[in-house]
Amino acid sequence: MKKNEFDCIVIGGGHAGIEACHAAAKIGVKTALVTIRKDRIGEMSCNPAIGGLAKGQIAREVDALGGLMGLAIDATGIQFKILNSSKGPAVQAPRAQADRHKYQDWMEQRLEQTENLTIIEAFAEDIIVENNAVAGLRCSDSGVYKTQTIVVTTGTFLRGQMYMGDDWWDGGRIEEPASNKLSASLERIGLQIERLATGTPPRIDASTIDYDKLEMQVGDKEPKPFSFLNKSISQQQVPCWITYTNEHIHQLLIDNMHRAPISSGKIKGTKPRHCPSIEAKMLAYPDKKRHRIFLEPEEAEARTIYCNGLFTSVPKDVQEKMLHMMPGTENARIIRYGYGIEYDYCPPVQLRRSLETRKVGGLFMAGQINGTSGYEEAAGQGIAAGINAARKVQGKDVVIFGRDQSYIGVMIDDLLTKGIDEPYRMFTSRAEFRLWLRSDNADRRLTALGREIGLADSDRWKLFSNKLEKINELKSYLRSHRSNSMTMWKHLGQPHNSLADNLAGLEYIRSKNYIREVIDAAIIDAKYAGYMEKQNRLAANFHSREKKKIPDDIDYNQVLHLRAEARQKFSKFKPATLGQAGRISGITPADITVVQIHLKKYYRS
Amino acid sequence: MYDMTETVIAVSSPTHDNHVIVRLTGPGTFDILNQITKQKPARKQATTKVEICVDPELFLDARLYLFVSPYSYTGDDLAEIHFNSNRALTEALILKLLELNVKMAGPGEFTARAYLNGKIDLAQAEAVNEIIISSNRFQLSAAEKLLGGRLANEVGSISQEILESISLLEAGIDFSTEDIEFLTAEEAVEKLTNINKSLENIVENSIDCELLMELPSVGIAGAPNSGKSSLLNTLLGKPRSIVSGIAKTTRDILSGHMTLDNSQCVLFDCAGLLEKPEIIIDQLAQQAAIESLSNSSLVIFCVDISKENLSQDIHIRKLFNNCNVINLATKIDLVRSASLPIHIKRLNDTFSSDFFGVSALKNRNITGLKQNIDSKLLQHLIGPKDVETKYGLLLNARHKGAVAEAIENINQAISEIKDQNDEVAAMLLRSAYEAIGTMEQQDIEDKVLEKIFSNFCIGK
Repeated sequence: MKKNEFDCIVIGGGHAGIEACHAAAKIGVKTALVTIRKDRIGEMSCNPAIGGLAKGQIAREVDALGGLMGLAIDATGIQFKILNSSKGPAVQAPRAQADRHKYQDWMEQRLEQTENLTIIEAFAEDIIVENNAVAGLRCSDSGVYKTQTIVVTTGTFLRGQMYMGDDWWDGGRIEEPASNKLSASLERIGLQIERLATGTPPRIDASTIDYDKLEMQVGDKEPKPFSFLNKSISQQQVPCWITYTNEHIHQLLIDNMHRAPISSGKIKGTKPRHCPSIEAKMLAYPDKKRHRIFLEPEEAEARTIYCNGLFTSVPKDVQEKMLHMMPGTENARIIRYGYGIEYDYCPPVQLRRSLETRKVGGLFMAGQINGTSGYEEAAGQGIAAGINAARKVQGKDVVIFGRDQSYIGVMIDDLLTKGIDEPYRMFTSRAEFRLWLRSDNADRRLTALGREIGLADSDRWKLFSNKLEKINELKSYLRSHRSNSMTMWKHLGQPHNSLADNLAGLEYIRSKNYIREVIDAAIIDAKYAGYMEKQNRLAANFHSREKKKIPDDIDYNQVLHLRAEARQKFSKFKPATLGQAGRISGITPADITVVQIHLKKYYRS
Repeated sequence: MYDMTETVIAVSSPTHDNHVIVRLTGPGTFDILNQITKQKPARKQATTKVEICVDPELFLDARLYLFVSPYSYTGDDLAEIHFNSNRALTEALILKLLELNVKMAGPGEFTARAYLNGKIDLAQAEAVNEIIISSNRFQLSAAEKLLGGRLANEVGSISQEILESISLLEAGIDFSTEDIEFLTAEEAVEKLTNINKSLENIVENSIDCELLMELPSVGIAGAPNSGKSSLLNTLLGKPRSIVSGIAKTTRDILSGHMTLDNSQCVLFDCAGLLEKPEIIIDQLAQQAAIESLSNSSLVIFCVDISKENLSQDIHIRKLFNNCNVINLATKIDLVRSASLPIHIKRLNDTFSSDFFGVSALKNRNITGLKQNIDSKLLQHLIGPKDVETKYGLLLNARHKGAVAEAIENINQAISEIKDQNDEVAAMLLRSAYEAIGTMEQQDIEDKVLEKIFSNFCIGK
């Protein structure tokens, strides 16, 4: 293969792009990453943290498949915490603060060392399409690269426009240019493009904060790693700090509301409801006396502090005044002001479940371009798109992630069936198989798949098979031994049982030298065993309907008796299975039955 | 499930009626009509007279009502064949159609097809079911209320409350890092306990559809010659209305079907109540009569007002002890109007009850008697509750099962919340929500559908 020829080109070196190019290269196809600045690979444009509720589960899934996110944060995290630790294990999730520079360096180095991967510093400008399929990519370095597949992971860069107060300027991220030519190229191909918006808070100089006035928040005593490959975290943990807004700040914001872009009506893109700006909070929660603000260090030896909860795009002078009215930041110096950003995305109804566009064969999309928000959501799609792009090159079947298998599957299915009206973020409540889609068992859900597709390497596989064997051994011991006149397995399923706490101390268990993860897995499985049955019963329809495929060429105008609304929705979303069809909003069971009947006729003829 | 590619038939009229309606629906409707009629009607919305060839020798005059998809009850092409006939001819036509590969409709299949074609929603389909089998107007109005979405209103607000609890619980899980307390465990428990109270209330104040299905029976009791037979004939209209005899003993208990303003009932003449049955056959008859009386919803006890010696009547009155009794002084045409109150008082005193005078022969006070029967039947049906206002929600077994399932799930959720297993509680509440949701249109599983539709009567 020539120097300028690749099997797969990934556009963008963010969290989606990293996993996509790493996965494709690892699977064994010749891959290139085209990115504007090599030194910004893995940049944390917003919050310097990985994980969180539901997001932590995705990060674990990416790791279980053989991705990089978990390894990177384990190596560069500065505060680890399990969230929801007082709630059930199914909704517990890891989160860690990162030293964002180290995280970035780690990712850049790792990609540079990855076999089959070339990093090209350039703007991607034009996707060359021949016969409805990707043929190449024209870049600003005046090169035209031949390729069969492209994964677009452009984040907020497509026609990115930033704003603060009355100011608007072009840009993809602070101090970085927007990518405007690629948007035009996507439009020429015939893809529909719309706008979304998001924002980021101010960063302040860590040395200008009065820590005595702040509440300290520390991480877990025993930090738990994200990656299934790591046993422990060795680096020093640092605290975060908490402060609160007050009524003076609220008054300031209300007085200056006319200067905030949200009141000008200029912002066309929808912003995420789950991440409102502080000025938007004034309008939405006028009665709330104070809002909590986390001051999070961005480095191990803190130089900058990220003001989590203070998303804003008010003018500079208001940002300064606001900080100076808050306990602990009275004298803070702003290093980077908060801003909003509006960008292009391609509504994901244009995608197949492999994340390939319907319009152009070989063109895949992942991350914010699909309307999502968050590093983990991006990484989850990135790894899925990278896997499928590589398999397309290899002529192998697409890999579809099921809703019953992973949050990645829930996310992709939601994107294809629900449509986007704000940046999509994962919540555990989106998963009907939540009791199974846990952080602790991501390896049991996905590592076999990662192995099969050539992404999880043999070290990972060995570690996993060994652990799985131990878990099964322990579970069968629990099922065959009694405690409190029932099997230990059943006893562990009872509420408030002491056995769970004492299990590790039992002589047999001690003699086996099981690692904590093995014991925990058995306890959690036992706890949920009864509920799992119920969950599966509730979802009984799920499996039968997921199996019923709807052919691509079905013309809903030919389906007799279909309601007009259903006809229109099905034509738009083009569901791949009856299950997907049923999840589209506004679709009734009667519509599904009608389609089902049509399919019978279709297959008969 | 129903195969919607098939064309099916059903006989939609009462079997004893001379006017027969055969309904045909499905994609092959017009094909079939072309094969059996001389005129070969075009596929369009129309009414037309045709001759149907039941047999090469036999032509049947019929009127066709043609409905073209989707403008029909089922949403498929549909034809109603109306003709005057007898049973034999009807059977011959059906056999002919079956030869042409038409299938007999399964129970409720017409309504099921209407549902599957999206012509009606599930609650409507169920309401049609209730109307088909509703045995009195009282029940019909409840069924109509169901059609009008009363069920949806009653349960809808509770569904919303469950949904709210789910979302608060989910918020507590997915947004636990915010400094907001969405719902404390105590609040959740209180909220859910109240929801369960409302659900229990619905069940308590509801009426079983199944209970109403069986027609109440009204027995006419009295000594021989107390005017039972003529009363029966007068109430039923014509002697011909006596449609069936229940051959339990050598003496039939004659019965007929009576329609009143608010209710319907089976009326039976309880002959064979004698003071001293002497032969064995009379003893058996008496036993049968007493058994039927004790099982009936209402007894009309007849005493001939002109009779001097009441000892036989007094004995017979002691043979049954139903609480729902109308005491009737019959043959009031035999006494002078002026002395009627005295005669009634004599009966009232003798039996310590209030007597109501009628004359079957002269049709006097029969309307009053019918009203009396009507209101006594309604009271019997719905118990002591206020007839006019409080007949609650009409629930069938599936509805009740769904509400019971929701209550059970909510109770479990309450205990999981107390154990801090919010994620499990949320799942249980979802299934409670879905259980109630199956009354309407959400996520209905094929099994539920099969169950509902197999309870259907054929046709609309």
